[in-house]
Amino acid sequence: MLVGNDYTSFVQEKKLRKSVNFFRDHCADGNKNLKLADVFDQVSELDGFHVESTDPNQQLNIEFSRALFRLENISPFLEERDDNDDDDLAFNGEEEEKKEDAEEIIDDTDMNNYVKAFDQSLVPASGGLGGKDFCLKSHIMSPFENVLHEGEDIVPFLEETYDVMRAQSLSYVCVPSKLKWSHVQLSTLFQRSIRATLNIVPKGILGYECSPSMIFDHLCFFHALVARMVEEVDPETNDLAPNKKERSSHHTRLALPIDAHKDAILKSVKENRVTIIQGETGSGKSSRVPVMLLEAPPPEPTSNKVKMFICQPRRIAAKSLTERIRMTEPHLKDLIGLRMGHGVREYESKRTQAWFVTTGYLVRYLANNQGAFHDVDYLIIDEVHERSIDSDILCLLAKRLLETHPKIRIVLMSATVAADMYQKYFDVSEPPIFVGVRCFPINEYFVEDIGKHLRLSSKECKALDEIKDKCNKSRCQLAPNSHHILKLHHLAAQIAVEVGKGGTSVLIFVSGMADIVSITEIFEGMVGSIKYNCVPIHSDIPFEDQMEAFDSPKQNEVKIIIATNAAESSITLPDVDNVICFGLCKAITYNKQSHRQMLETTWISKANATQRAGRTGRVREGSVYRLYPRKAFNDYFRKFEEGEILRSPLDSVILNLRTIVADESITEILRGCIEPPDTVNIENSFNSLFNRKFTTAANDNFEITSLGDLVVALGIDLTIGALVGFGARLGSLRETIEVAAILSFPKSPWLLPNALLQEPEVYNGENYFF
Amino acid sequence: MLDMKKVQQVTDEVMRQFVHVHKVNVSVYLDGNKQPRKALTRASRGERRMVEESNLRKFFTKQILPPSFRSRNNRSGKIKIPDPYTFMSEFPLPILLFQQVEHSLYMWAGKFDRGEFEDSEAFFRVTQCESEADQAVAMESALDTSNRTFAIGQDSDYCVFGFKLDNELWVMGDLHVQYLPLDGLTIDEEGIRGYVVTRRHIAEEFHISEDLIVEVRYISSTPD
Repeated sequence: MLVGNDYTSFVQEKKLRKSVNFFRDHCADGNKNLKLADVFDQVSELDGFHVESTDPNQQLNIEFSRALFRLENISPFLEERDDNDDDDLAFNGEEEEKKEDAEEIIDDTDMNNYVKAFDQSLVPASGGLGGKDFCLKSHIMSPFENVLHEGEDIVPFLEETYDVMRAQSLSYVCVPSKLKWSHVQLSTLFQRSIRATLNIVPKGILGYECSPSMIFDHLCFFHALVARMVEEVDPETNDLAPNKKERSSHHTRLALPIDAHKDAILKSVKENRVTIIQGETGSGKSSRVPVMLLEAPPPEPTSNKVKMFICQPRRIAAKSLTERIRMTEPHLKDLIGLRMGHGVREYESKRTQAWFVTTGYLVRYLANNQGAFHDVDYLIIDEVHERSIDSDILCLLAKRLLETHPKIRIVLMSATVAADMYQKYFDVSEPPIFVGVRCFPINEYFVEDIGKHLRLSSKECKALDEIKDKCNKSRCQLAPNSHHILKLHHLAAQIAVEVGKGGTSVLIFVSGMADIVSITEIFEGMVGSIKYNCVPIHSDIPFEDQMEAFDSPKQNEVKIIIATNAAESSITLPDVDNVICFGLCKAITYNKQSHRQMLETTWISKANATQRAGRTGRVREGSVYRLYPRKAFNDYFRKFEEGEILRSPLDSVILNLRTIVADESITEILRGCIEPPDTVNIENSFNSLFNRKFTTAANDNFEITSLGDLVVALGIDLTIGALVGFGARLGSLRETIEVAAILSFPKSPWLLPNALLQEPEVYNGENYFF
Repeated sequence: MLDMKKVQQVTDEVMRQFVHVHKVNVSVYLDGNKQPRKALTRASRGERRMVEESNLRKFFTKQILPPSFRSRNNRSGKIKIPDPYTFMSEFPLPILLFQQVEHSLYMWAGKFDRGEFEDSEAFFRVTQCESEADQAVAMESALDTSNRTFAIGQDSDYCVFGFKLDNELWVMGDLHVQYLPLDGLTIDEEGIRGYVVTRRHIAEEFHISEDLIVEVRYISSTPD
């Protein structure tokens, strides 16, 4: 009954053996199987029994616990606790086990020394809590910045992971299987840093901001670590980078294809107001061009120093490039800053000369602060092929800037840019500068070539002919019917079997989940010495399941990666030798009659087809099997994907443009875009905005109502914004905000059961917890 | 690997059940930074932590689970999932666990301070102690002579706490800590159920005086 004693322990019993022996000697006639009740019997008969010790420490403990248990004053016994006293967790690694761990994320020969240094840095990092300037993130990160060596890439990784965790945008149901001991160690350090910060925050001051559940999501953290580990796979050997030295080489200055074109680029930007740079992924456009321009003298002799904005379509790209250049170019570290929406400003100072920004931020900044660009030398628009509405509006504003600001120069960069279109739009006479060339060839086979190249049955050859005829007959104007799609599934499976060798992967590009399920079922029915392992890549599939695509297949295994256009760009699958392309995708289209967007199966563009083929031939020669005829590709496929502005209702665009430019005709502004939207679409949007009470008139002479002002300020879908506005008016703001938050979530809040993804017992509803 | 959101949800739900559903006044006492001056006192905790850490490292480096996960029939190769308490005791507790619970509790206290629950029939408060909170908890329970204040915890020390029998406070009446062990506690919409242990029960069971319980504790304790 009397167990759990903090003040007399097993260790003490050993050290004070005489005290224990006292009872063995005196109470039970030497009976070693002494019972507790016997002890109590004996003690109760002793008058004034009390325990004492000859050991001063032990005696002090006895006196303390006596005062404690008798509810007397214990203050004289107390002293301040050393917080680090119980923090040895996860770092008392034995040397032998450390050696086995070949992929330490924090690579230090003596982890304990590292932890001591970390602990010492926790104290100053946690101090200095001061009012409004307190930043939870910087306090949590500062021990890492203080302790880790310069050039270590873990700090930006942790910062990015922290941002993701704070955004709470990811949700996983299980711990990734590749989790390593070193991950646990890093997680421990990170949590200790969070704890040290939380311990100095006055309780209740920062409210929910400081809830550990809002700061640290261990599943999200571990998934980010595993994803990071996958990124570091060496494409040549498929091995993980074995130590920090090799990994950190990612952030040292390597020779890149674009370096050979430095002079041409500098000459072009000096002589031309607009320069277009086209180069394949990895050629170094994004990271080198800003540095080249920053290091070169200003293009105008009147400028003292170069000033520029570099625009990226995504926040993660802007952030990671800022960090990367700050690390690879330490002499330019203080000249690089970051600005994004929601007031994000990082590394900004009076010395800053180059700002990485997001497209959305720059559109709003440029529209409202044209005067601020009077001393800007360069505006670099990266990934210009990503034709979002913001991107097209930015090009429009940049074109206007060329007229009003005689000094500024525009640099457009992309891997698959529609150069002609941009040349015409910006009135550029110089041809694009091409940087970087493909190292390995890709063999292309269209539907009419496949039968000659592969040994297929007569039935399959007949199916190939039918597909060719149908595509040519329909001129790829309509999406294929279900009969056509079914044939594609079987052909893709047969081609994969024919070309797939043990230890390699075949990537099949399909349009949607139904295709993924159907093709997987075909492979599941196959029996033989080679095992076909189907891995889906689809936006509805949890991130960790998609990560399987990066695992190397075994020698007797062919990995069949079945992907939608989610795998078209931004990922590298090193062991893919063969790509099979259906030529189809799901795309958003605009219906003029209903003034609504629809998700439909449609034919891809040539640019998409090129991107898909580019998933192979990256580390060795590859082949692409296109399940559509050459004529369709040459004559019927669009050259590039249509801009989002042509495929979307323009309600939100019009409302935002009005807040930016109050005096001009919105119709005229939109007509100045690189691909102007249809007038009917613009008029439909005027009507829609007026009908929904966001504007005062159903034409170009409108003003924004108070409800319109609110939804613009909220920056969410207009209908959902209106819900919040009406909720506020009707006194149910809290409830409508909750509903709006749920509706704003881009994916279903439910995890769809799918036999492809879950084990049978989970799929059938048992043990659906980790 | 414990999800902090789950910890927050459970803490909130337990507090909601106590305060709003069953109208029970809740006083939470949090450990302070001071500890008894000592040389050896926390040795057993340190040893325990080392075992927990070793279990975790073995699992991640060699995929070896602690003995409590082994099935009786080893040949079957099946893993036995131990009860939650054993499971938790095999591995280190999450580092942010205490901070999470503490934060949730302060959020509750803040709501009461700001009058958000002014219609509530029960109160909720958090007290930061100078040292370990056990004594403050025991004191609050002991001083309620109606015996309707319970010390909820998972520590048999509550069976030892008590005023010395010749203490002048004894004139107030029955001053016993009403210890309500957490592992026997059930809280749901229907009610709160558990068993109560007092120092008097222990003394009567072993036929010794209550004062002697403190003394015999030193000599009868076993390593936990």
